Amino acid sequence: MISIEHLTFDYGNFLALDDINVQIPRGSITALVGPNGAGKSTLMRCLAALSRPTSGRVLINDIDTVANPHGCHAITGFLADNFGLYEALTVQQSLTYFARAHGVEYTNRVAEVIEMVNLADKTNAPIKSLSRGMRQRVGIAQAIIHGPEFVILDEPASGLDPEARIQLASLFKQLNRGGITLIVSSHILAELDQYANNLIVLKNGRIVETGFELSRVQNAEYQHYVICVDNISLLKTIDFAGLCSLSGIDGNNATVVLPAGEKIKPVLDLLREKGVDVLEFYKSDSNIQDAYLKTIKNA
Amino acid sequence: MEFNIFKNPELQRNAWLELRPARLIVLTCLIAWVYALLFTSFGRHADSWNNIREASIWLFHILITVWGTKITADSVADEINQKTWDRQRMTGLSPWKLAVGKLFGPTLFQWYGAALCMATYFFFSVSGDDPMSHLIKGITVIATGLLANSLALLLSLLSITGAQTSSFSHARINTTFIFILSLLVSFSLLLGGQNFITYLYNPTWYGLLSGEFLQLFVVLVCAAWAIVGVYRNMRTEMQYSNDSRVWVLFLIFIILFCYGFNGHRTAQLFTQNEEPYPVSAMGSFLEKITYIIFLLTGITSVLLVIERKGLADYKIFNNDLNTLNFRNLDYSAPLWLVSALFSLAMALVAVTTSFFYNPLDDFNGITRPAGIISSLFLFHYGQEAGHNYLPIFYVGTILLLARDIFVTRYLFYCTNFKNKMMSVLTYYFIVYMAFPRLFGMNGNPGLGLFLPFNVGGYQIMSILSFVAQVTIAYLFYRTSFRSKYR
Repeated sequence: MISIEHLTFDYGNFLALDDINVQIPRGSITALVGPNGAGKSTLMRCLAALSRPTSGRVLINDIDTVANPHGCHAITGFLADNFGLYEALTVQQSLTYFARAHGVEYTNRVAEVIEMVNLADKTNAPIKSLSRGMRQRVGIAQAIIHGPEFVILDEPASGLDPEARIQLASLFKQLNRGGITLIVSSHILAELDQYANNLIVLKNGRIVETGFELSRVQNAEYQHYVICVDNISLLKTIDFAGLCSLSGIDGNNATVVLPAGEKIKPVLDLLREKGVDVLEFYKSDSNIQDAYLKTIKNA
Repeated sequence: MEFNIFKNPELQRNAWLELRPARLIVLTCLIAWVYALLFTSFGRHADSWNNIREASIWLFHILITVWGTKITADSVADEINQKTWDRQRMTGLSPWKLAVGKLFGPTLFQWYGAALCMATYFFFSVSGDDPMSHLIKGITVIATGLLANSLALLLSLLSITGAQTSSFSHARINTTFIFILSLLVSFSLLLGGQNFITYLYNPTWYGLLSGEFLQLFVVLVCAAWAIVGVYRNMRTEMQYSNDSRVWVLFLIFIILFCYGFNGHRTAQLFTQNEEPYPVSAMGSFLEKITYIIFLLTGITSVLLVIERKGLADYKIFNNDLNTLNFRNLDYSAPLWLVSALFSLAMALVAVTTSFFYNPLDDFNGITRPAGIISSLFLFHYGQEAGHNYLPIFYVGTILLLARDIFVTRYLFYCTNFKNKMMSVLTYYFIVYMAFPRLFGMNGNPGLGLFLPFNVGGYQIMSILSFVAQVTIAYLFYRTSFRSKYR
């Protein structure tokens, strides 16, 4: 578990983090969101034991990041938002270097991680020849080469095309299933929907929302569906009579909320009955975007 | 194990990049071609061996002292500029392994060429006249290269620490100044040291070492301290806590080290001949202390430019200072401040001693004031200063250092200049070069307003000018800092 206690980071002319208190449970995928300048990157650097806080402390599995930074580095992987790679090295050389630098038995581990990030066909390719999506995966491979328990990723999907983002989301789920706790910051909230189950919202260096509220609300009590229809104006006039409630409309897409355990079929039947053609529908695992906007608005 | 390419991952990574067969073959051929050219030009007579030795030394300097220093100055800066430094800091590499990796890794290719050159040098030294002298010279040259490289890495590490904490390592680091400074220091020790030994003195160090052994010792000691500095700063970069004990030890070492130099003076300054003359004990003591003060204020000034603590660090230090938390101050105090305090302590010793010393007493036909004291004392366009001049010189030196501290802190923390290091260097140029030139020409007493030299006997005016400068600099800095950050 990561425990953040009264964490303050002062740049002198700018208070980036202001008395942050939060716990990040082991096994979660935590989305760290907030407007630009909210303090996300500073918080991530403190979690990665790369920046020394002005006051307060961060404990990673009870190891203090200031007192024992190397102990934290051994169980933490970090990918900065604007990271660099050793362009002239091959994928294998680069990962071998980091494995050896971490004191890891590298022969099998490098092959295993290359397989994990789906770069087996690029093992001997120079990094400078890789696409942006592949470079991102090399970055993640470097961050997990030593088998960390926690991986911190700052804006990992920025600049990636939709296909690469989907692959990345799938990789995060895979890593999480393997027992890694992930902390991911992103501006692309819709993408966090696909994998995050915990949310921390930062604004002006303070936490305005935290914990498992989001997942508890959505997974335990409600479920969200996005329904694409041909006539959204007509849909707005329909009385769903307790079947579901309409939580948002975006173009021809309507988001409806059903109590947990209820089927979507009666809702679709009602729409058809009222003359609304459903073009497609899918279940939204969570709705971080709604939660985020609501939280930021109320903060 | 840190020096073993196969045990140190950082060395191995650099070996993959630097030691490519094609590059090694080209360099070997190039060096062989230079030697072949020398052989064919000079034949096999005695001079050709000397030429080959000289060429080997020059090739070594080109490869290691110049090219290698540039590469080493860039070794960490490049990691920051290419956004790979954070990943390295998070690896399990120990600070010592990373220090060795950064010092020798990026220059493996250059060290390969240098090894060929120095092997040639030693081969032709052993088979020539006076092999021991050539051997010492060769080792001194290698130590100079090592010193230049380690100094460049040390200064580079000192300059990035502030940039890291202030802007997430996004700042691009420019190492040109660091490169030039490292070269200047290293070549000064090598070439200046030779002049020092040959022409001015026949110095000994506590009577133990003299001549070329002394020069080798000095270069080795400097290189060793530079490597210690690299290690300490690497620790800081890797988030280990560093107290200032090692720096304090270094400053004490500097004082004891400099104090150990003794030698016969020649009377060149007075009689234009090279007859040795004795120096009075107190004059000699003051001379050594004066050199030490120069060295300490010089180190402080370099740190004022190089050591860029971020505002966050500055605030932590300020809090510790205000709460008189001495335990924390040991970690948060900037090195320039520790050095400035040592300068102040030595200046107090010098001022106290100078009250009991009148250089006029030494002009008795038997003894003379020691060199630097004579220079200061006689810097009056031909006239001798009053005996109360020396204390004023030391007080003036410390006041100017205080002024520089406030002005450089103002330039670093209160201005929006993009290149703050350049703004500080410009300031130093103006106050120590341009103003004295402008106001001090033709014996004009205006020189005394900017430098603690005794010009025209206006000592009191000098001190008043320095006090005014310190006061203005302090008030300006304090007002600007408060208005900007509070």
